[in-house]
Amino acid sequence: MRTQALAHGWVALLAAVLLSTGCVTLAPRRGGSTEAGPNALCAEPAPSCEGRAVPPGWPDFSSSDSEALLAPFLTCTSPAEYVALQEHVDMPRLVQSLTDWDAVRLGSLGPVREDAAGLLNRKRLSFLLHATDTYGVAPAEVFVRYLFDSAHDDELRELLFWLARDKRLDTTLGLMPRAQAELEARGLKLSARPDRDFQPGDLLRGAGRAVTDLLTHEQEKNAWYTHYSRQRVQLPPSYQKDLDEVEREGAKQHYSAGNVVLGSVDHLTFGVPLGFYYLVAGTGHGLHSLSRGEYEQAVRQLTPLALVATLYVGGKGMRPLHEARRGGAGLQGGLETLRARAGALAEKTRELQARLGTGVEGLRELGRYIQARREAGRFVAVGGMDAALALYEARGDVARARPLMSRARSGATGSSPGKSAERQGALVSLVDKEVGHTLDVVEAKLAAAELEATGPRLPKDVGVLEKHRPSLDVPPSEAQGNPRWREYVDYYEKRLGEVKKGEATEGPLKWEPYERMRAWFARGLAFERDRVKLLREDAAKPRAQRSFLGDFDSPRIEIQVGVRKPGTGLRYADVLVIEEGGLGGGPRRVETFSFKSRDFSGLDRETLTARMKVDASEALRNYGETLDIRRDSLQSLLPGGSEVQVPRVRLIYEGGKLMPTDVDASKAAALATEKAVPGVEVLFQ
Amino acid sequence: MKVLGPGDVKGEDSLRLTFEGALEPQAALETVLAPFFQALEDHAGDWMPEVVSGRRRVKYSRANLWKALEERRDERSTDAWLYRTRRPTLEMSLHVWFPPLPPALDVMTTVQPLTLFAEEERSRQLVEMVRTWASCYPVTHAAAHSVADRALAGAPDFGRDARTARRDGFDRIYEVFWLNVFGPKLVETVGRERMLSTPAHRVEELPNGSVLLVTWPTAADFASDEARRAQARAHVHLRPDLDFDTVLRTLRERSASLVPVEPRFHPDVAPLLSRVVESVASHERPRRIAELNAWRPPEPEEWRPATAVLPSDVGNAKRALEQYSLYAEQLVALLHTKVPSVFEATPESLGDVDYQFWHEDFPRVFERQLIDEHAVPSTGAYLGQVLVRHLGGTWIPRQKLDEAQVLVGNRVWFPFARARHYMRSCQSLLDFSLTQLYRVAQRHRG
Repeated sequence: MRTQALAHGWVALLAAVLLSTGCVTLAPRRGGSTEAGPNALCAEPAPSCEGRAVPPGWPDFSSSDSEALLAPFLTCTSPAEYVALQEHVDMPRLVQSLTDWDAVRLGSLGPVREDAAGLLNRKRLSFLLHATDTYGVAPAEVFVRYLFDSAHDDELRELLFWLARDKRLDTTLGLMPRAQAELEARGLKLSARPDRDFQPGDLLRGAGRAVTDLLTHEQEKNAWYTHYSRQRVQLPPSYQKDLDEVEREGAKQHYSAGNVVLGSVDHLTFGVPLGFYYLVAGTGHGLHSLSRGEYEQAVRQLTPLALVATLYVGGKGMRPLHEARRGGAGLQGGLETLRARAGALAEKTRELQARLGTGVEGLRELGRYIQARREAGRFVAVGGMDAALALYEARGDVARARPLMSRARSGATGSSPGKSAERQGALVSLVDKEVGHTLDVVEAKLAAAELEATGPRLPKDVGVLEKHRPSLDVPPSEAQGNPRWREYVDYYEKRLGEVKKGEATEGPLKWEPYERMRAWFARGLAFERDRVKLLREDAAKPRAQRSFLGDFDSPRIEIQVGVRKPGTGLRYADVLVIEEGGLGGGPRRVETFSFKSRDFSGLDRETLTARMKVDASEALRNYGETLDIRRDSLQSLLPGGSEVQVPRVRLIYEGGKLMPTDVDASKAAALATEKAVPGVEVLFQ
Repeated sequence: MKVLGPGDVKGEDSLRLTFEGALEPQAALETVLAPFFQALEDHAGDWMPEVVSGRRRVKYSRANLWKALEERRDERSTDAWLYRTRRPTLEMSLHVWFPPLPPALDVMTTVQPLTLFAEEERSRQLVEMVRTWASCYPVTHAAAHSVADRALAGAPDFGRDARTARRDGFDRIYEVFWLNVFGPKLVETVGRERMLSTPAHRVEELPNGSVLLVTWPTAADFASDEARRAQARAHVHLRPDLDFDTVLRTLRERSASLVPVEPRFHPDVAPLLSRVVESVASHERPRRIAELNAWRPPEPEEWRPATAVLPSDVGNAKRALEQYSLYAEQLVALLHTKVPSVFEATPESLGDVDYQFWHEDFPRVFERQLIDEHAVPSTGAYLGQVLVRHLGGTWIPRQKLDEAQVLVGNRVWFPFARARHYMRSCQSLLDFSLTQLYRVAQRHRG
């Protein structure tokens, strides 16, 4: 029964990925069949739905325009979308119709569907042989490394096996020391003897012809298309740079055997091609039209390994909300999108790392698991955070990971809590007007907490959601007697409505994670309530005796103030303090406070420092620097306009047992955070 | 790579070295930091770093170190973290700050155990290392001392509010530690002549104007009476406004409060109290152990003799039992992510539940209504389930939850009533622990 439920979940998930694009007309689902739908679309998940539609009639197999067949895949913004798009296309036929080089590019986007994988790998082989023959060994090696870096280990084993069988290893890879070294770093040897558990693919199960014979007509077909210069600009920048070097006279020495410098090679270069495509997808610019410097600056913070794991896990929601507005036309739009996406990825990476709970090592391992098997890549691309955590726990074994997945705690990515249609009864208990927790504010805060919530969600599929619709009168056993069940039913209904209207970007949380999110939410509010009261007491003291508000002559405390910033949208600052006293014409002093309740006990100092820096950067981004204060009653204090400069954001953590016992060390972490993120002050209470 | 941190061995003191030095703004990082690591490698000996943490944790080497600093670099700073995989454990952070901040180097190093520095030569090597550092990088302040005693001294705030302390740093002689380097500004506050004439194990003027001062030959026996006398003498010499007897008395009190206390907890709650004590900072541990040694949990009163059992007054007993079982599951749902053992519903799980609620300050933090309607029924039901499963108890359901009983031997127990008492406050989590009730019920099973 469990297997059934899981299988059902898979179909639903796949459908959900497609539906989430919002501007799709799907062919009717036929019991999970993979038959191609005429209008399937790998659209952009941006809420604005600016995604370019798949050209009408795609895929058109009659025209033999390889580039046109490939193009829609290049607009996908994540492996999840890439995998989903494949589900609605005749993939074997599509791969068959691609040129070798375009097949290599297709393969670099992520795991290709199982029934087309053998075919794709054969085209890779053909490209490898052809490029070696026509470009010369040194330039070909760069292309081959790109090919290797974008292929899973199991696919490479197959390639190596074919090459060895046909005794083509010595004349190809045997001459490419750097490619060889990279293979070895991944534990792959140039040897005719395949691994014991290796089963060669369909190529050899056929007539058993020699590889080269088999490929002859492919090469003829490619003859016109394989223009070195054209392919060159389609490579990610780092490979282009290598080609530059090869083309310069120093190439010979650099690539001569015995002079292989691997010191700078991150053994997990898998992410480079991946990041190359997904970071610029849909910007209207191939990377070749963006300057390399810009690209490199944007992704400097992202290591290849972070890219792999994060892009696969990221699914939708990878794109910051403001991107839709900013991106769009022009080179500048493309660059801004790129930077914004790189920033979002970096953030996602930190989240993933935190979930894995094993530091950078964990991230790296996860990347390795994905790199090792195509199946693992697909598993994570489709299942997102859930699947990633399960795969990690199962040490890369997909078969073991599947049953674990339902247990895994997952991370929700983005979700836009729409405007509340009806008031949620149970939330009333959290309303405390005295500290500014009005129903509106509680709802907004809960929506923000829901957005960050951890835990599995139901897919964004109306059919599935209707089917699992919770009943107020018949709660599941684990929710019986729980006063929050009613609230959950309301929440679910509201989200279902949003899904129907195409307004939601995420399905609802399941009951248990919802309940867990609510428990911490209540704790956070309770902490905040205490702090606000304390701050009020502070404001009432004579200036010299105040511990927080000594910089104000006459502080006015406003709670839960709506503030707006470009990029972050409307947020509620927990507390905003504004100078009410007379001023000598200068701008009014404004400070903001953000309260956080987090269990830091037991964290080592390195992790603690890193987490604080993340929180501080976020607080600065949301409540610091230039703020647009929305509250009407404050406008009279702001004759110069509602935009103010905030010189300091106070980030206040719940202290006590939630902090590490070594106060000395925690304070060092806070001090380092303040130095690294100027404009934020970090305190424990 | 798995590393050991100072938190991994509880209740054992460590040595902490803090160092703040200025850097030349223009020089390349590798050049400017080379003497730092040279001195470290020359003198660290058996606490030499083995692992460097950049983007990932790799073996310590200069090359990996530069790589780590490069990888973690952003506009105004970079950092690297050094560790060991074996005892003695090491946690060393190195923060480097770039313009627009004043270019500087902040180091915090913790080596466990402190007893490593009972040996005079090892202590001397440490002093030599710091001396070299201080000669290369103009110091504002550097110190090495017991972590527990640092905490008792109030470091790093020394009685100031956190903001002032962070703004001003160590701007006057708040404390004299085992090893001290005072930068020129601090020397000025005292007067160079006076500082150089401080009675101490070692006083040395460094070429760049700072002064190295070591109170005693070894770092580990800082709490001995002779070492405390030396510390007090140096302190009052540098701070003539302080009175020797007062300073010495304070130091002796600190020594006394660090003398380990053997736990002699009430056996019914000993495992729970051990964990409570473990979560307390090491300098507070002896005092906390002493308190808990003296404390005795009140004898549970949530029971009656079996002869006085309240007969079941529910129509459908099966339905009631199902309800209890659902309540118990709610506790599992609430806690299982933090306390996985809660699934097992064993006597040990009860201890884990006790600890988790205590650790989270659960009764203090959450709304009373939520606790009464939600946490109390689920905790009570869970306790009842464990009594049933592990002591062969029998539920006797009642309409009112507080009256529901579990018959064990010749007593009936009221698990929901216990849970209500339990959830009253953070202290009552200990006074009315689930663990204790279980133990007592076990003894009276007969």
